[in-house]
Amino acid sequence: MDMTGAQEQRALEGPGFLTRIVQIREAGIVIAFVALCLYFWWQRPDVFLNPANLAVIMRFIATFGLLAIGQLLVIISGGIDLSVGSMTALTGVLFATLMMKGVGAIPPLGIAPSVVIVLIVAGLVGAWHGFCVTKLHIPPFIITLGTWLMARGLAAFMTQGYPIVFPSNHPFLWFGQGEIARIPIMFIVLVIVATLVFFLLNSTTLGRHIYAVGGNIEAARVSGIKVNRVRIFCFIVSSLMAGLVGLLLASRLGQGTPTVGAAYELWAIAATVIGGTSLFGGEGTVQGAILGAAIMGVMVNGMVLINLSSYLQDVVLGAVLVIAVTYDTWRRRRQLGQVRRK
Amino acid sequence: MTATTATTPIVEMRNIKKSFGAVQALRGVDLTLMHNEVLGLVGDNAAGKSTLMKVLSGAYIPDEGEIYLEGKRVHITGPDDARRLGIEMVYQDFMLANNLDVAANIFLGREVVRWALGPIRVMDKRAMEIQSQQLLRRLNINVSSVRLKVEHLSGGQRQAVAIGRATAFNAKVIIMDEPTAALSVSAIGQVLDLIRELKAQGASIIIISHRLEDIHEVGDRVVVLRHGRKVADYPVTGDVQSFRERVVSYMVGARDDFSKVVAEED
Repeated sequence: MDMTGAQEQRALEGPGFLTRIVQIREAGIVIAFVALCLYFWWQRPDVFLNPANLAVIMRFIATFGLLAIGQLLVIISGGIDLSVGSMTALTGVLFATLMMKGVGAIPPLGIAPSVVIVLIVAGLVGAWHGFCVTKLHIPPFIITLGTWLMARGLAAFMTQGYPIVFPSNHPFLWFGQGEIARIPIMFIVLVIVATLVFFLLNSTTLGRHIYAVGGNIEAARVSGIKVNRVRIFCFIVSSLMAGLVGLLLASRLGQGTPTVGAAYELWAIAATVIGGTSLFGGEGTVQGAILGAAIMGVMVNGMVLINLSSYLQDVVLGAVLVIAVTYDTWRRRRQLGQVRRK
Repeated sequence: MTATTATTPIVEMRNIKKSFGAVQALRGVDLTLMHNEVLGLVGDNAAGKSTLMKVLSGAYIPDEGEIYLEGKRVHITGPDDARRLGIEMVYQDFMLANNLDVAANIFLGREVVRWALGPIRVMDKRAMEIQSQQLLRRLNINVSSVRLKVEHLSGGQRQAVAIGRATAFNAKVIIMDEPTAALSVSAIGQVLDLIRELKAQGASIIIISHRLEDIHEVGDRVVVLRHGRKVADYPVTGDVQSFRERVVSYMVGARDDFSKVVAEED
């Protein structure tokens, strides 16, 4: 604390109103989330807050929250990752193959080595995306679209289309199905990962550089930031999240199946966008992405509870996405105008 | 020390040559910058002024020629090198991250680190904010808070932040590429005030500009390049009108103070 005067103190605390507006961004989502919960609770007081139902919602939030966090980093840094849904299938199937069947001459492995291998493979896929984007200048949309197809195809090829089922008493199933104090393990994993990534984005130089790369990549470059490394890092994290979710889903479903996770990348993107992330890069928060996933989780669950036609459910979800983005765009423009006028 | 600094140029570039394929962008340019001097570097498009400054800031490596910094020969092989030697560049389009606040931009790539564990480097945000605040106050840059995102600033404020950023780390030489080109009239006044302020505080500055009245207003000396050669190098004197006419006559090739030298070399 080596303050030289009250002037600096005041100047530092100057934009109190601005910080408040920034908080309002999440406040809007929190209000929407609470309102949805209250509505479904009012509609189905008998079911909505049941521990079993809450666990269902939490597993949904964990699945899409984890994918959204990976997506968040890639999107902030100015990219997009379309491969994550297929990657959950590939990693789940790879894990099941390693643990149940073995590959070629390698006999079936235990849980820990299989998990490690799966995460390494996922990380390498992310590194591949980063390499193609930064060194070969392939647009992120295209290179991850390629993986979206290839990972799904590989998963189907490895199993010839059939799921690989774990024995029902297999200890691995604890990760996806277990609970501690009625909180699903999956959700606890999300909380841990979210805390780490929140710390990364807000407190470390790497986090700041991720925002800088997404905001103005040339400015980041001339500031001496290793731009390529930052972008590759984001792709690796996204693929690692897909691998982690692939493992959790395999555990949850009790099988490695090549059809799991279809369109999950779009759900993850929707969650980040509902949470206030800009697809143009440079903007977005962990808490926003998770709130986005939470809103989707509560809606998907609540609409089933109130017996809304499953066709209409998609219509409502799509509308929510559009409303959220419209609101966020409006709020941001208004905020910009207010400060400019000052 | 003070005796030598008075006579030794802070920057001396000798016989700098740079070609891009068949195009000779620089054909042997000499350039000196004295301590606490504001040098205007002018020339028509493709005269080589930006190329020359990119050589000094490490973006280009010259084919030939030497660079001396405070009398010592230096080899600048990249922007990082130049920065380490105290040569900072302010870019025409500001080169700021609009999504980050003022303090984050001033310290971008040079964050104050509280503690580090391998690649995990935790920032000291408060120290950066306080130091940014002090920097802006010292330079009379009027930004209501260092926590404002740059996207909320006017063009003049952005340029001021970009210039402030270049001076934040004890730069010896500040190169400004068209610092007023993208600005409104009132913002141009602010930036020229800032340049005067920097000079008053002892900075040595090179300004590339098409706006000759700006050079006339804040410059001590002007160097004119034409077709990759220096054609004029003299102190800024007189009124704007005659200054402009004289500079333009060099820019278009009507006058050339160094043509003999070239003839001898050839």
